[in-house]
Amino acid sequence: MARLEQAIIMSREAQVADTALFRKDLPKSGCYSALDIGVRLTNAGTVVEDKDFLAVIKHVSLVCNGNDYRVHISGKDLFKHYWMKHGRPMPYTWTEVVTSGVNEVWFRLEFGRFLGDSQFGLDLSRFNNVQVQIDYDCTKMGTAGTHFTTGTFSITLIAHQFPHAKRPAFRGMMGVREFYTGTTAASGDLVQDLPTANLITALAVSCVEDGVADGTDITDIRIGKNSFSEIWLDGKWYTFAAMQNAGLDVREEDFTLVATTADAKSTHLGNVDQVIMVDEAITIT
Amino acid sequence: MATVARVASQAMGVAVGNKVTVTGITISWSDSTPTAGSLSAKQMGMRVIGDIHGFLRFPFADPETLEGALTPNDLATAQIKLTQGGSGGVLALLCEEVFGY
Repeated sequence: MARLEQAIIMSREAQVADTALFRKDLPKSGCYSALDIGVRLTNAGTVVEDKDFLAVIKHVSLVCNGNDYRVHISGKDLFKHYWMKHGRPMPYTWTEVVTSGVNEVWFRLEFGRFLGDSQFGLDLSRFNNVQVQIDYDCTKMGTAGTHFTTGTFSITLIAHQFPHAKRPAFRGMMGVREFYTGTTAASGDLVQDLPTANLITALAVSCVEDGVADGTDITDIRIGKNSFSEIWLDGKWYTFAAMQNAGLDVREEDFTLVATTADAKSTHLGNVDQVIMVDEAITIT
Repeated sequence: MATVARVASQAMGVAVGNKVTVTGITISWSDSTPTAGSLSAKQMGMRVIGDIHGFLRFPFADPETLEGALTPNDLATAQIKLTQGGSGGVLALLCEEVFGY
């Protein structure tokens, strides 16, 4: 396996707009195994209460030739997808500390089966144009100038690429996309056709409502074909959740809060076993 | 002799779904009896242990060989059915695909 290079395409470039669709054209040639995306936002002078930095990232997309979305997924789902697939999350900092606190999170777009896969990856020369898009809205963290410092949303892009002299002949590339979004109803079945154009290696279901236990809004999942005369998978949400989360290496998430009694904080974990709180500012005078 | 005063806080979190509600006190003491007050704007670390909230992933293919992947032939009539039990859940269905060159 060739030794991958980490090519920094951009490093902590602050964006002027607090709400925008960021677009970055990737180079015209190169063979990428993965692309890391890091985003940061600095807090302002008033404590942000119960806001989720992942909500700022409305969508991350990889768009080929202008309209071919090979990756299109929300920040929340991309973070959780990596965590569920690999057993640990990408690096993050969730902080409510005013003025100096910087929220940060990293995402990885994977184009092969693993880092350094010579069979599958993104070959930029196969396309006229490949663009990374980040649809972001910092006002999901509150008011500009009050809760976050305007103009501090910054983006880093790092490509995990094969050396120019050792570019492999990829058979194809991998991507992950939303194919349905909506809001659940109180009852009834929701049936959706699966996308048919490409091989599908995995499916995922994201259903989130803050303050509501998993397995409430969606209780059962069935996947099959021919009107479910052939069933590939059928079961309860809580059963799948127990099985899948048992395999995780990391089942905890850390926050820095500026806490007042009765504050609420929405996390990215449910079925919570423990909450551990530690004083980080003992005062001695 | 100077009086040494200390202020420390203790808190606990109670979770419903993915949402943690904080309850805490601030304890102040010097040379006298400690006194407790309500927790207010104190920097605290919080570690939450649980399951990934609202996310399930169903691999069909072997991660190395990709054997078992759903082919366009399989997918022609393939469907997913979700039984809904509560309103207001933000739902997304995701697929991991292989695009040929």
